[in-house]
Amino acid sequence: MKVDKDTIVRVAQLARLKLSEEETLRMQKQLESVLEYVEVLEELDLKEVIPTAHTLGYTNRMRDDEGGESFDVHTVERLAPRWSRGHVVVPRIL
Amino acid sequence: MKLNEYTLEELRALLRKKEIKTRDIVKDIYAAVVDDSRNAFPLNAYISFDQEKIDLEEQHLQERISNIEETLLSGVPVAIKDIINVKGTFTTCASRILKEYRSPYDATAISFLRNHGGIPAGKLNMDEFAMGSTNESSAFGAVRNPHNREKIPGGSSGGAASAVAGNCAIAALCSDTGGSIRQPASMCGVFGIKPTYGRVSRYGLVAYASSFDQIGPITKTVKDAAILLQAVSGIDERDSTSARVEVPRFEESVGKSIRGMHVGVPEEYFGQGLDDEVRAQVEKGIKVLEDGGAHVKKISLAHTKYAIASYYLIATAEASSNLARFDGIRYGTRFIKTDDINELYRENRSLGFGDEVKRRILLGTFALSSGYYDAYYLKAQKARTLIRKEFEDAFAEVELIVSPVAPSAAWDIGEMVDDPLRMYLSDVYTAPINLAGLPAASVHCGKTQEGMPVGIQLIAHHFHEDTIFRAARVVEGAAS
Amino acid sequence: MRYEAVIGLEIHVQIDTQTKTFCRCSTAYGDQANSHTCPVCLGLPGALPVLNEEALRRAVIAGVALGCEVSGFSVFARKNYFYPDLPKSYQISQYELPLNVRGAVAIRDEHLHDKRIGITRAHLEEDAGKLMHDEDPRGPSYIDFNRCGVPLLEIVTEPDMRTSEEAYRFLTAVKEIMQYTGVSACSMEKGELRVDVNVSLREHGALELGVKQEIKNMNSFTNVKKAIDYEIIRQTHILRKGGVLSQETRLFDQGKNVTITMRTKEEAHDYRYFPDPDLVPVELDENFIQSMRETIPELPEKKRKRFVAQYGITLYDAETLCASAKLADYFEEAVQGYSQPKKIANWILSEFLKVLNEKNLEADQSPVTPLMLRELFTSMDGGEISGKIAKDVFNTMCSTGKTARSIIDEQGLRQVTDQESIEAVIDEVLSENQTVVLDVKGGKGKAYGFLVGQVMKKTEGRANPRLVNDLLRKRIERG
Repeated sequence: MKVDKDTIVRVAQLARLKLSEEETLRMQKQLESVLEYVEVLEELDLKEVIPTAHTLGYTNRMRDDEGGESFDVHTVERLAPRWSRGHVVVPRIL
Repeated sequence: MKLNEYTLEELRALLRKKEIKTRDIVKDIYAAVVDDSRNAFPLNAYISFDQEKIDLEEQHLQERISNIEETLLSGVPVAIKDIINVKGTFTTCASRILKEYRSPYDATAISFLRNHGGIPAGKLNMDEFAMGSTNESSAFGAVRNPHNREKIPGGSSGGAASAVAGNCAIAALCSDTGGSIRQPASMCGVFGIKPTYGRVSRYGLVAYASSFDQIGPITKTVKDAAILLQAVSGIDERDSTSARVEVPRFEESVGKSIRGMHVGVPEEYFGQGLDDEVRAQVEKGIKVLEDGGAHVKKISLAHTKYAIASYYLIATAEASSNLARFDGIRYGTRFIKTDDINELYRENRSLGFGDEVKRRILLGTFALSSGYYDAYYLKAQKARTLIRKEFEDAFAEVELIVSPVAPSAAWDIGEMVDDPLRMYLSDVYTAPINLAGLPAASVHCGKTQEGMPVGIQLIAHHFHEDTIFRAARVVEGAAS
Repeated sequence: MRYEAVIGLEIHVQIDTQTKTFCRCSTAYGDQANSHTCPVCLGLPGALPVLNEEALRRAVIAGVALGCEVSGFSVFARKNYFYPDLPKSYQISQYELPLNVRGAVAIRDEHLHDKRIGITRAHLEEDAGKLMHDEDPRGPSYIDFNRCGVPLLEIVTEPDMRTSEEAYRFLTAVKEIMQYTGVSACSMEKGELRVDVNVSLREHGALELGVKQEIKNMNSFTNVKKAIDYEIIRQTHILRKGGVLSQETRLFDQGKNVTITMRTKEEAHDYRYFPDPDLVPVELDENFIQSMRETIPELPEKKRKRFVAQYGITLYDAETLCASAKLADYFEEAVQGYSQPKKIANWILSEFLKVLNEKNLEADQSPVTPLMLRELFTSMDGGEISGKIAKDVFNTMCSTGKTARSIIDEQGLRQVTDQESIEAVIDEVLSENQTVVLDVKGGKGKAYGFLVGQVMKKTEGRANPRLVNDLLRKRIERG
């Protein structure tokens, strides 16, 4: 199917990707060719088919409510690119 | 012979006899890696190889397990694809966005590896976030094929296949989502197996496509893989998709007869698009099975032509969601300083991800987006049900299905970078297997005129890796 | 033009479990920031979720208590969006196949008629972290991930409410049910119950819904009421002027009691829901659902009605008694085998509650047990002490934990019922207050009360009032 530039821009924003003008055009063309290819699925009659819910069909995987190990706060601190006052720091959220 | 040139099985024997120590092996591996780096066209198989850390691992293991020579692996060093968390190492997934990320925890497969006496040794290069078939999309540079350094090693586990084939690693643990173990193994002339979905825990494996990903070994021999796969398999309470099945002693299947084994050859896998030389080598491999006593017959998997479409829609959809966590906020690299949170997300992710990753994220986001979910994602999941059912029906008639691994042998580095669709289509024989969650392997069966390796794909029913090991050993025996 | 308000609510209730929904981190509140995290709830690469069975059980119990149908097959879905307090950039929630559907909760509307508020769905999901802002408005924001992954029950109602009062009552009813079933303590201060309100207006009699305004993240029922009232006025005003409303998300400004538009973050969310491939579906059979049903105690609505019928108290009193399961249980135990439950009910609603509130205690933490309370009443009924003395005794019981009997004995508070001694006191009082006696004979009722008071004073309140009354009147009549 045809993919217009606006769609790429919208989808890029949904995915929080910043694309240059050149990238946008390139992605548009490439995505278009892939989407055209996947149209082969139209050949199938899928009305009565149940979509695969899980690769091997498992259900009911659970665990008990027992506590386990948590990270030491220092581990979280070491991972965080910006840390202050015991918290991960980000630019102000309005 | 240097120790890096031995197989896992041979080194295990030497270690058990206490004729060598792990560090002796590591020393020779390291020397080989350094030597290769001086080559005009280095393999570039590793992203990191921290000898000090590996020696520490060995030390800790000795302290923890007093009778290490009684374990399955007895101290053999195993290289790890850089998509698997090994505590304390950088786990970059070959991406800029994780180049500073040091794993604060171990993947379960790594814990299991250690419990069986294995030593994680080095992190291998790969396609960024496992997205690719050529290992050209790494932020740490392309990997080369030891058989011809101008050619790709395959991907996404290119570093692993290259290292094992080039004697820069004894064995490797990698991941396969649409062929990422089998295809590079085939292109580098080594053995690789993707186990049944759920056989090996995914906890700690950085997710690309959650319903397809599996950890598996790439090794020099079939026997080596059987040993290594057994070491990392098993139920894991931390993985809801982990299978509650016993782990067979895979080693024991290697060498067993295949007399009477029913083998199916799907005609759709041998049609147009398959390179003639590859076809010839694969047919040679099938003949070997026949000579070994297998009953080979033609079967039909009519839905094969829908597999790539179904695979890429589902895989990229899952990937777009799995990779959304990479934002530079809690870990990873924060590339810019800004006061705008939206800018932070967009800049970090755009600077952090390579082209191929961005492309797949866009495709996946699109397939899930409002108005398109039914037409793309849902449709793909339905097609998947049909494809899986078709395999189920086939396995009611045969025990093993054989096919080529890739349409051609390794091509030149740079040849397909501008044609993503063509690259996706090269997964045509491997991706359907992931849709159905079946186990499959690539075993070396011949070479092209140019001298490039060709592998044959062996596919078995769920949890029947033993069948694959049996058949693979027979093919391996004839090829050597 | 008359407008009718159409109100729907989305309630997030924090389910009470030891560990989080998908990992074994503690759910404890108020601990050091970022001390309850792990690869799973921090969204580290490679981490995987595993469902907490206790969270599921409680979510099923809640569904049953809310009158829902519990689904035999439900699926977890990813709700994808970017926000710094959401580590995976998706929330594990439920979408197409939620755990509970089609329920209802009964409330009493303003005309005291029973009204059923429909519940569209009640599903299980995980909470996000906590975002805090620097005091300096130009400063950054800070994230605490402790709350990330704590289990939530999201309850979505049908747009069945028409007034702010109905919404308030509905919220109260839901809170009671959650507390009664033990699903959640619903502590408002800890943010264990949060509400999003949807308000729209339409012409009276119209069938189509008007344009919805959403007021997010409210954590006080009173504020919900105020916000709705304000919204109705605001929207009516706009519509009457011929204006048009567009779908908006708003916040309630507590200081000014108004709602304000949220700074538009971006366009409407496209959450791209799809089944989470890291989790498997939940299949529940009727046996399991029944076993959950059996753990549910008598719910407030039923209990209230029973109290009215069984104990002859008013509905209003029943509502207060049943507001807390613990208080209701206390009451029932106290009136076991007691013939005048209404008396004890009144006492509990006044004296007893006063003490609980002062000392900030729950009914089951009271130093006065139900048995002790009943004993106090039997003392009163038996004439051992007067009602006035009983109040003092009760206070002493509260502060010392001693029984009524022992306090009465220790302090010699037993009522004086001995006629002779009372008559003696009466004689004394009359002789000391002869002018007053004349007033009484002259018909002044107040003077009489004064004399009674004097007798009670001289006997330190221990004289049986009825006897005093009786004997005093007879004495005065005699001359």
